[in-house]
Amino acid sequence: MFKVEWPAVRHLAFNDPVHSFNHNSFRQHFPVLAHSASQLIYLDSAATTQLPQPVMDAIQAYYQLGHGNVHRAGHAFARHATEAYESARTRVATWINAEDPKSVIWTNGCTAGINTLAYGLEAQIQAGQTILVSAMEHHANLVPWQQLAKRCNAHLDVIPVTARGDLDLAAFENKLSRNTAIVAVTHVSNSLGTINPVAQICRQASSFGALSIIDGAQAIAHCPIDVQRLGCDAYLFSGHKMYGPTGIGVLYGKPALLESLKPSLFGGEMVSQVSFEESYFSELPHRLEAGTPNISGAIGLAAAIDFLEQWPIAQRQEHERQLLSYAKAQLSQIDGVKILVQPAMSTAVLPFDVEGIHPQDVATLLDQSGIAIRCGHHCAMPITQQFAPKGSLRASFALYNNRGDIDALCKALINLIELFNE
Amino acid sequence: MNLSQHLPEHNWQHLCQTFSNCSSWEQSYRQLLLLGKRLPSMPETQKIEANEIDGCESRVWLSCTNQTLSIDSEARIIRGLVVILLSLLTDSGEQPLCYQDLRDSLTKLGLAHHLSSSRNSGLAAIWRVLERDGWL
Repeated sequence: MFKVEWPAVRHLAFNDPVHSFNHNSFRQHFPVLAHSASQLIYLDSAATTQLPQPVMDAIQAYYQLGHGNVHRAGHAFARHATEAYESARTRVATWINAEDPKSVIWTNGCTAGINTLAYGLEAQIQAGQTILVSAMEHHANLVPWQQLAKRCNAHLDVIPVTARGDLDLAAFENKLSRNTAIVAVTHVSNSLGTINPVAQICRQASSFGALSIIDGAQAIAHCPIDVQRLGCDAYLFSGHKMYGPTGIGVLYGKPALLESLKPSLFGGEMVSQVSFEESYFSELPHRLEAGTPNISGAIGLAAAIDFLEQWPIAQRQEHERQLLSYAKAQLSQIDGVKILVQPAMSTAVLPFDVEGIHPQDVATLLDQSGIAIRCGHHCAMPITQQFAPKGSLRASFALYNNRGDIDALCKALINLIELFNE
Repeated sequence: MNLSQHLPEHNWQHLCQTFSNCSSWEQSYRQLLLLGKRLPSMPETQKIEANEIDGCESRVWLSCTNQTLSIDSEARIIRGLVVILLSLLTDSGEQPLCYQDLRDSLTKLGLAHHLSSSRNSGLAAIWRVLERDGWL
């Protein structure tokens, strides 16, 4: 096989305390990664995470032990389904320190949840009011608000992002006013990795009477979430970005916010009484959960929480902090590779480009090398336009990644740069 | 039909020979990148919105001037695939080319994955436009 001699890259000497996160004990649970023969280096966890066996087992066990529809019928299968589904809700509520399980609404994912909010709040938005979003939002936390603003003749305003990749907080404070109805901001940027000071943002929004809505899709797997401490009016995330299955997510809302939302999906589960003339809707949380839910998805998400919690959060964060730091250091040493942002605080995501080579070419050649990364605009066209008009490359990390994965990425990059420049 | 950018030394038989001699992905992609380097660039004046093909991960343009077809992309691998596509079109002569022919031909070269069902596949998008505009 054609081999390139990897030039000696100087490994930065930095404090490497005894690593208390037992990486192998974590990674071994991921069948697709655990088999050394597969040689797959997966660096696209910001797009979706792999599932550990215990989560897959929990989903399968639910179906195998007899699944039924929730909240209906008294038979054993239905009871089993309802108990499992509602236990999962309680599990989430405890995990994010929600006031009450009723504050946890199941959704099909973060995008669906944000749309539920946008439609649900429509009657409360007056013409001329402002909805504030940040320039680094994923389309899921931008387009629903943009479209809501159009429907209500409200104004969408954008908090700029600095050249380093941080929110311009001074600009945010200038834009915030008593005319601001909603502040919608991401906790962690999926394209830049920036961690935003969301507790402070929520406090400031609240002081002007604005609702604070936090997109936690990227943060949920990397940051401890305490929604009461954050003080947000709503916090949303998806299961598939935290080692859970696709098709399930959570909309947490303060009781007052959730009560005020108009349902946008109607049908079974969310009604208490129906005639041809009129329908009466259920109490929360069911009023906002129309139709048969993704029962196995909810169980899978709760199983992912249980799985994660076997490793203390401080250990998990330290592993990821060291990994990101190592990735930045190693990639910076490669001629022609440029890391695009240097935010004050970041996690899990590293956007970069390679001089003279289109990101699509890099991604294709990395794919051939057995390395999965993402190229393009990462569902965040506006911010990608600001930092990388041709699109950027994004390496994103999860707890199953290690330094060996980063070394392989660097080796492949050096190799492909040489191939390209022949 | 005039494929002005067709490089005579890269006729289809020659391409098959070249790629069949490749024993690793690095060797195949070296060839593809070389092809992409040699594809003449479209003049900047023709890289206009009307000529741009939507929905690709890299920008792709297709223009037709005086019945002469010209295709270009920002990504070199796509440019290499364009050379292969143009060689195929020339080789097929008067015979219409269908999607399966393209798939079979790319499979022969070990490059069929570039026709994935992903909406961002530049080659598939180019094919759709060629079909729509009657070049096949």
